[in-house]
Amino acid sequence: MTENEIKAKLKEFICSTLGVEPDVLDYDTELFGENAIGLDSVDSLEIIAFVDGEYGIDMTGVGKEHFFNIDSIAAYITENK
Amino acid sequence: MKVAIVTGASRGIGRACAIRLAEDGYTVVINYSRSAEEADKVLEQIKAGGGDGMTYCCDVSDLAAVKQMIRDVDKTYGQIDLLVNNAGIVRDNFLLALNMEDLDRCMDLNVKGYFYCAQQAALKMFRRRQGVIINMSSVSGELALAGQSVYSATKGAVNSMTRVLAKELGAKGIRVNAVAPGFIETEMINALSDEKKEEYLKTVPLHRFGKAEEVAAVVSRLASDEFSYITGQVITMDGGISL
Ligand SMILES: NC(=O)c1ccc[n+]([C@@H]2O[C@H](COP(=O)([O-])OP(=O)(O)OC[C@H]3O[C@@H](n4cnc5c(N)ncnc54)[C@H](OP(=O)(O)O)[C@@H]3O)[C@@H](O)[C@H]2O)c1
Repeated sequence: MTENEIKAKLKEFICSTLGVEPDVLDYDTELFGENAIGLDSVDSLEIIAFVDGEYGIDMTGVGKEHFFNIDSIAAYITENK
Repeated sequence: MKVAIVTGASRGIGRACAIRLAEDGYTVVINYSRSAEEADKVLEQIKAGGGDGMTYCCDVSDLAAVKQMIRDVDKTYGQIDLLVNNAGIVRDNFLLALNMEDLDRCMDLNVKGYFYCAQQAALKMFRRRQGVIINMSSVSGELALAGQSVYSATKGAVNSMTRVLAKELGAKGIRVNAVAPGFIETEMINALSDEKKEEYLKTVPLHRFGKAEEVAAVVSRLASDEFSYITGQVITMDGGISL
């Protein structure tokens, strides 16, 4: 699976499960924090569980910077495959 | 099929929990860190009773090893329904005689080990929006016994983490509870001198030590769907010591 396919899957998951509208979510959109699209820390757990289930990559305890946007999550997955 | 992991299940309370949960129909993972032969015997007994499971050697105070164990169990059985965080040690001493290696060891196993297993198991439970975590605490988490400051502190931490994790994980269908036994007849108690045993017995209104099977019965009920509205609780079962 290419990094772009991973990004598309992550976007699909975030929209369908976490209720984000697809048109406000680009791969470089900030996910968490004040200027972001309103995801909270519980949503980050959903992402951790999704990444574990889908790619077998463990993101428990991983630094916040890796959850900055879809680009950074996908990069982490690719690097740790 | 439901799958349960019991840490420290090669003897004592963990062993009784593993056997009882197998009787309840769980496929049971019997975790241990050194006592392979004893763990094998627990599995044999489970199989003789028509149950199923496996033994798994893993020091639960080692995060990398815990990650591997949970991954392997999930791969083998496809799900984890119940985690019983039970592996724990006691290193009693008075404050001024406290050996800092013992302090580290107790914190590493009784507290950090519980967090490691809870985190990794919850990660798998999250996906299915269901699961139960039961932490083996102790009446010492609330009761002040001289010489037990470290053990009490670790069990107090277990009680607190139980309540907070119940809050964090509740919306995901995961229940978290603790069982706080008093004196239970295991090697921990057998190692005491007769004098000490008699002294302890005097403090127990039921005037006997509890049995590991009695703790396992509470774990079994807490894990069951019948008790599905209980979360974040520490269930004390101590023959009345704490009254
Ligand atoms: N007995 C009591 O009266 C009593 C009362 C209240 C609460 N509790 C609590 O109940 C729990 C069990 O106590 P117990 O009396 O049944 O203990 P126990 O008879 O000493 O058994 C301890 C179990 O933990 C395992 N273990 C030890 N270190 C481990 C590690 N690093 N990783 C994985 N497993 C490990 C041991 O297996 P290995 O030999 O293979 O390491 C063994 O199976 C503890 O949390 C204890 O605090 C006991």
